[in-house]
Parts: sequence; structure tokens; C-alpha cells
Amino acid sequence: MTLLSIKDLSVDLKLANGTLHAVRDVSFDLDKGETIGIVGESGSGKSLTSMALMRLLPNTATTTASAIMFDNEEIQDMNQRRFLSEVCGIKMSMIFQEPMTSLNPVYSIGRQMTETVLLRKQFSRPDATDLAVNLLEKVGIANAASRLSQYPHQLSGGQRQRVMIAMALMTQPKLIIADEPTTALDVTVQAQILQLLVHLGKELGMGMILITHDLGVISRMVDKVGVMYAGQLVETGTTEQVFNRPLHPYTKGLLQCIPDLEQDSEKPRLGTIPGIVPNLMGKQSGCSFANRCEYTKELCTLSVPPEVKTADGRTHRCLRSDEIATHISESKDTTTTIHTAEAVEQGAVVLDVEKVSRTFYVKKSIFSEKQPLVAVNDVSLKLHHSEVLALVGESGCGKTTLSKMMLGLDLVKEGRIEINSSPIEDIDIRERALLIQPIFQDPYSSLNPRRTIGETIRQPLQFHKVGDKQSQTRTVEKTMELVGLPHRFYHVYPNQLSGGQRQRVAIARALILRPQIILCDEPTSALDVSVQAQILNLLQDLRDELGLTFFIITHDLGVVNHIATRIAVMYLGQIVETGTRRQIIHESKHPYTQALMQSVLSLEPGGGIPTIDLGGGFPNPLDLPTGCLFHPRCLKAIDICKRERPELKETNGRETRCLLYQQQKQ
Amino acid sequence: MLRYLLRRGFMALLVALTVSVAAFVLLNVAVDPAMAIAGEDADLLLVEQIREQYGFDRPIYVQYFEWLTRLFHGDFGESYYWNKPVGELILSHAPVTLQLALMAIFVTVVISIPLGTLAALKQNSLIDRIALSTAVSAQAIPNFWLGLMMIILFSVTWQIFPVSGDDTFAHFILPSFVLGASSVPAVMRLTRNGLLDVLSSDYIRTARSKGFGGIRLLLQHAMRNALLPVVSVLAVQLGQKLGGSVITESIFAINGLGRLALESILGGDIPTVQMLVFVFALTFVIMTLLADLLNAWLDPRLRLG
Repeated sequence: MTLLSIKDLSVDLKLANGTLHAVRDVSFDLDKGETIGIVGESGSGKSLTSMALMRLLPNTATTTASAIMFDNEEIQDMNQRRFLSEVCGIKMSMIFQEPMTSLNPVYSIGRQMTETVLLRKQFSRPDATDLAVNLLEKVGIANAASRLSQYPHQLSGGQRQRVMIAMALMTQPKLIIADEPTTALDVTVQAQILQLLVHLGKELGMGMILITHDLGVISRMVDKVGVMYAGQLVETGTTEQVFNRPLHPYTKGLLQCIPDLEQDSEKPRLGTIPGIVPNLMGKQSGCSFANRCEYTKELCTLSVPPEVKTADGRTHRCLRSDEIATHISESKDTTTTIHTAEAVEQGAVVLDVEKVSRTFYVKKSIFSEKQPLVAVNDVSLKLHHSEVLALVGESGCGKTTLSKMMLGLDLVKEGRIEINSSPIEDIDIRERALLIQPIFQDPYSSLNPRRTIGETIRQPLQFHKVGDKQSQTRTVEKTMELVGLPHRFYHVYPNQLSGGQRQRVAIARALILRPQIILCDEPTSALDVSVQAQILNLLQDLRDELGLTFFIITHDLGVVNHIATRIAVMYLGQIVETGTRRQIIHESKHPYTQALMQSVLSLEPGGGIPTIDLGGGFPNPLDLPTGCLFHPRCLKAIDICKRERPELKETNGRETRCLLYQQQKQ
Repeated sequence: MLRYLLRRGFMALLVALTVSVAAFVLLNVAVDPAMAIAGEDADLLLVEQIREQYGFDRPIYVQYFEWLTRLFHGDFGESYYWNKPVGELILSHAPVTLQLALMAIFVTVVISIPLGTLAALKQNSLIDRIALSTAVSAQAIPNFWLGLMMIILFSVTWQIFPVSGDDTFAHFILPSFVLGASSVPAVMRLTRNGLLDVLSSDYIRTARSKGFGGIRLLLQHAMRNALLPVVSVLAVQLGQKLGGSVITESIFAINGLGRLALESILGGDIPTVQMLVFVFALTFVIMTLLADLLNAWLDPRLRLG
């Protein structure tokens, strides 16, 4: 039974300088109870497609389609009043990406959950309330009844997203559209929410459109997949077909970009998709992927590839599919491999963090007493020359606070941090800048918008008075070359660059003084997968060429596995486990590390969402648990864990803070 | 909620006390009260006598506490200039100012909130442009000029409203329009920008995805959030108007607190000026307190946060 059938959906956005054809001729069908995943990078039009279905687009957008059949009815020409009272929010519900801001802050959870069904008179007030409680319980919210009178700000991000899901289910919709439902959440929460969505979808027999950039998620939980590129669906098919035997070169490229946990000590270079997405203004003359495709021939630039249906029910938009299909499918695993040897012998210690703690005092109101919040708790780490040490942990675990102290941006009050054996507070600020340089997460806000790229990269040289103007320009150009930025960007402002290019600028700025250590705080989390792959490859090359030492802070274990030589895992301000990449990824000991590993959703068509051995939510750092800080969430916790706080114990070059292992040894 | 209320109330009390100290000390230091009573060119001996008689020779903090104690007993002092108890003076002038202020703030609300809302809903349309240019010109037009123009047009030329005075309701229409119009630009712009912010927020998108649209979306989901900052500004504006507008009251010959203040200052009547400053400040404190409470009622993050 077809639930939704879209034919040739297009969305045009009117901008000041012309019309942007953001979605072009998208067609797909969805059966009852079926889940389709739409993947694509930012700007590919995947969100606009769903917004167009719900009529949520701004007035500047025009939607056209040959047909949009939903629940046996053409909904395109339905008048707005009927659409609002029967379809939007009733038969078709939507879950958005930002749980923190998607609920109205001034109304209670109960009111927001029940208002639609009350407005449309689907239920009486007591029935609606019962249903709301019921659904909240279903999505795993404790004390559901008492939550109804609470307000959004009293719930955590994960809880709010659960409320959003329950709210979308209130009207018992036939179709749920989930737009990046878990992107803003921590990895450990992500898996739980996804599992819940899939489970509920199947149980209630709803059709679902899942929009995400996360291929791991898609591969595991959807029945079929549509890959979007530059406003077009370039390929559709069942999950198994698309992931194991891609037809379109873009799909293949995308799959190769993903850092994988399965790969072992041989770390192949990530595949990348060179070039950038074409401008979507004006009329399309050829295949929109032609400028980035390795198989491009002249015919690709001459005509727009039509949507082709294959014998096994898939569709694709590639003119040369017949010739290259076998090659694409076969070459999937034969990426060029460049081996980066693990740092076997450890170099000298360049950065030494010794028993560092950082406590903030927070006051809830001017009359209450100050409460200590231990953000960093007795952390010791050694960073050796030319290694890549990754610090991993959930948000709020203290990673960023620690990194600030390492950069000298926050005072070290307890313990000490030494760079090349001299305490960081004794090092002159200018000299410190020559030793350690940061690369931050968000390349959109970390570059000064009023300075050209050249000026931004040159500034450290001017500040340190290195060389004359001409030699500075030469150094800037050389560094730009090194990070893969063309010279023509020298006089360009950041707003004219893409996210990946901006991150290259940030890297160039950090590199220009040739510091010993580069500290990266989530260097790729704001970037698309294909760009992320480029940046990770670049960082790896730079390490090999320049002998740099990297300290990388991230929550993405795929990234960690790709680039790190050593890993430290942090939980509630403490280091709970350290070891080589191999030790942590493949033979982790600490239950927390193990849970983190489980929450990584690698590509596995039909793999389902694994259950994570992790209880409860992230604890309140103002109210630390007794004994082992992890014991309330640990499924392996034994009696002693509640009483005794474990020490970080070293065995065979790795450290673990867990009583389970220390017990066994005794 | 109770905690929030107590905290805000306590803060308001502290502010009121600080203001009373400032009002008392400043005026006593700036002007010699004995000299003011005795009048210019008075005999120095007489001045000394008055100083002793009224107790101005004592340390200032003693005088302050005495003044404060009397205040708590409802004794607001005696005006030298009007030869009347200050309390009586203020009470007799207050109703006129209160009526003017309330009518003026009504004018502000009735013009600026609908206009701001319309401008936000139709951003960059003709009505938005008109609203914004009206705001700019209204801000540029001085109050006294607008007042005089109104009198010339509506009282002299067309003779719809009385020229001046405060006897009937009709007397208040022109001055309250003039006084209310002065707050329109700020409030309108705040309404417009606040609503624009809210309308582009994620929770409005959520509400739209739940099938809310048009006026229902505006009233049930957007307005409450958009009005939070407007409430605070309106309270301040009302506080200002309750303090009496010297200019507007003078132009329309309205015998309110503004006029009383002006004449007391000119007459060097320290007790009256002192008390007026204190009353004006207190009005402000109470207004902001009310605005805080109203906002707490509207916004659970303040109430429960």
C-alpha cells in the first residue's frame, strides 16, 4: 500500500540575485510502515524537500510537483485551511533537529503535547492527557504524569527530544518526518533515541522519512535510501543495494569518506570527493556531479541525466551507469592506501599535564552558597613528540576546560602543565604561541569576517615580527599551498569560502609559526563527511611532513580511530582509560569506553541499532556520585564500586580506572 | 515563585532606600535649606536662627533618619513655599498626573503593539516601511512642538478639544496623545523586532508543523514570547509618565505633579522637591517590580529557573 508518492517535486527559492533551484525533480514512493532515509550533505535540499511536504517553506519559496499523493489524496491543491486541520500535524508529523529550541519555552510540556488534538477535537481533555502520559512513558520518560506540568527548560536535551517524538505521535500520524532527529545529541543518547523511533514506527505501522547526513544511522535503520546531491535524488534503492552496490559515483564517494572502526592498524587514507557543490542558480546544463566525478566524459556536461529505473527497482541519475556500474561496485574497497605507521617508539614528552584540577564555583542565586563544580579532576596526561593523542568524552565531561588550560587561556590553579619541561605560566605569551596553537570547532565563527584570508593567516607573523613584508607573503603563500588553499583566496573574505575551506584557513593560521603542538577542539564536527575526510587527510599529511604533535578533542570515535595514535577517555572530569588506539578501540577495558564503542554506528546495512550497556543519564556535576563516578550508569558495577573511588592503575603501558580489574588482580 | 517574589521585593526595597538617601543628601548639600527659607538677602543672624530652629545644624545622617522616621509615620514634612503639608500637596496633584499617565500609556499600547505586530508580519512591505519611518519621525519630533501643533490644529482651527486645563475628560485627550506618542517608537520597534525573532524561531516552526497557522499561531504561540521584553519597557515608560511630564503639563496647563515639581524647584522648596524626587523614584521601583512579576508570570524560566 503506497502511503506517499511524490513526482517531480521542485523547490525554487527567490534570492536577491536570482532564483535558486534548491530541489529539482525529486520523486519517490513510500509504503505504509516503511522507512526511507534521505542522505546528503548540507545544502543538498534534503530538508527543503520535507519542509515542502509540510508547507513550512518561507514565502520566497515556490514548490511545484506533478503529483504529491498522500494517503490516497492529492494534497498539492488542497486548500490551506483543510491542509492545516487534516494533514499538517495530524496525519503527517515532523520531528526537528534542535531539541533545545524546538519547544516553546513559555508553555508546559502538557499543553504543548495536547494542544493539537484538543484544537482538532480528536480527544477530550482527560483522554488527551492520558494519551500524553502514555506516550511519554513509551518514549522512556520517567514520572511521565508529573512531567506534563513541567516546562522545557527543566528537561535535558535528550528528554526534550523524547518529548518531541511523543508530541509528534499524539495525533497518531500515518507519516513521520524526522529531520536529523539526533544530530544535536551526544552519541550515547543518539543510539537510544534512534532505536526508540524505529521501534515505535514499526509498532504503530507508520511510514517514516528520516533525513540525516549520518550514513551509519541510515544504513542500520531504514528500509530504503535516497541519496541527494545538489537538489536531486541521484540514487534510490533498498539499503542493502545502495550501500553494498552503489550505482552513482557520488554515493560511492560518500561511502568512502566515512572513517570506520572496523579498520585495524593499517589506516587507509580516507576517500574524498574533490571540488565543491556547484552553484544551484540558473538552468542546469549537465550532470550536477560532473565537475567532481572521476568518470566524467564529455556527454556528462551536455545533458541533464534523466532518472533511470533499473530492473531491480532502483533508480539513478547517471548517464554512464551502464559502463561504470561494475567498476563502482567493485572498487568500493580498493581505496588508495597510504600507511601511516603507528608511533611505536615514543618520542620525548613535549606536553606534560600533571595532576591538574579545575573547580568552578557556581551560585544559583545571590543568596545561596557557592557550590563547587569540579570540571577537571586530577588529570595527568603526557603528550609525546609526533604522536596524535585524542581525548574522548561526552559533552560536559571537562575536555574543553582542560584544553583551555593547555593553551594557557585559563590559569592552572591546581597541578601543573609543562611544555618542554617549563611550566606553562612561566612561558612568555609570545613564546607559548610558538609552541602550541589551536584549531577550533566552528570555522564559521572562528575567523574574523572583516579580514581577508591572507591577512588572517599572516597576522601571527606580523605579531611576532617574523621577516619583512615580502618574506611574510611568501610564507603565507607557502602555508596556503600546504593546506591546499589556492593563491587566489589571498584577498578573499571568509564569507566567500565553504566550511571546509575555512577550516583549512584556520589550520594554515595555526601552522604558520610552525608550532610544536597543534591542539584541535572538534576539528571536523561542523563539517560535512566529504569535507571531514579531506581535513582528516590533511591533518595526517601535515603530521607526517612536518613532524607535528597533535592533541585532538572529539566525541567522534570514527575520527579518533582514523587519526589518533593514543587515546584518553574522560568521564566527569576524570581520565578513566588511556592506551594506544588499538588498545582502546579493540580491547577496551573500562565499561564506559566499551559503551562509547557500542554507540558508534558504523556502516552496516540492516544492522539495527545496538543496545548500549549504559544506564541513566549524564549525572549532575554539582552532585557527584559516591565511590566510582561511573557506577550509577555502569551495568557491571559491583558493591564495592559504590563505596570506593578507583585509582588510575597502569598495566602494560595502558591505564584504567576501574575497580573490576583491580579486584581481579588482588 | 514565592522565592522569586521575595527576592525581587527585597531588591526593590534596597533600591528604594538607596534612592531616599541620595535624594535627601544631594538636596541638603546642594542648597542651604536655612538660606532657602530665609530668602535671599536675609540677615545672617536670622539664617542662623532658622538653622537652629529647624535643626539643620545637626549632622546630616541624624537629619536623614529623622526624616525617614517621620516618613514612616506618614509625616511628609511642611512646604515652606506653599505653606502646606507636602503630603497634602502631592495627593492633590497626583490624580491628574495619574489619569494623564494611564491614558498616555493606553495610547502608546494601542498604537505601537498592533503597528509593531503588523510590521513584523509583513516585514519589508509598505506597512513595515510606513511604521518604521513613522517611528523615526516620531522620535525626532520634540514633545513641545507636537503639543503646540495639536493645540493649533485641534483646538484653535477645528475647535474639537479644549485648549488647556484639566477639568474634563476631553481636556486629557490631546495631552495624553502627545505624551503617549513619545513612547510609541521605542515600544513599536521592540514589538516588531521581538516578534520577528520569535517568528523565525524553532518553536514557531514546530507549532506550524503541528498545524497552527495565521492568527492562532500568532496569538497562541508567538505573542507571549514577543511581549516579554515589551512589558519591561512599558513599565519604565509608565514610570516616567507617572513622574509627571513637566513639558506636556506646562503646555496644556495641567496642574499635575510635573507642574508642582517645576514650581517647587523655582521656589527653592526643598521639602517638596525632596519628597517628589523620592516619590518619583519609588514609582519607578514599584513599576519595575510589577514588570518583573508580570514577566515571571508570563515566563516560566524566570519563575522556576
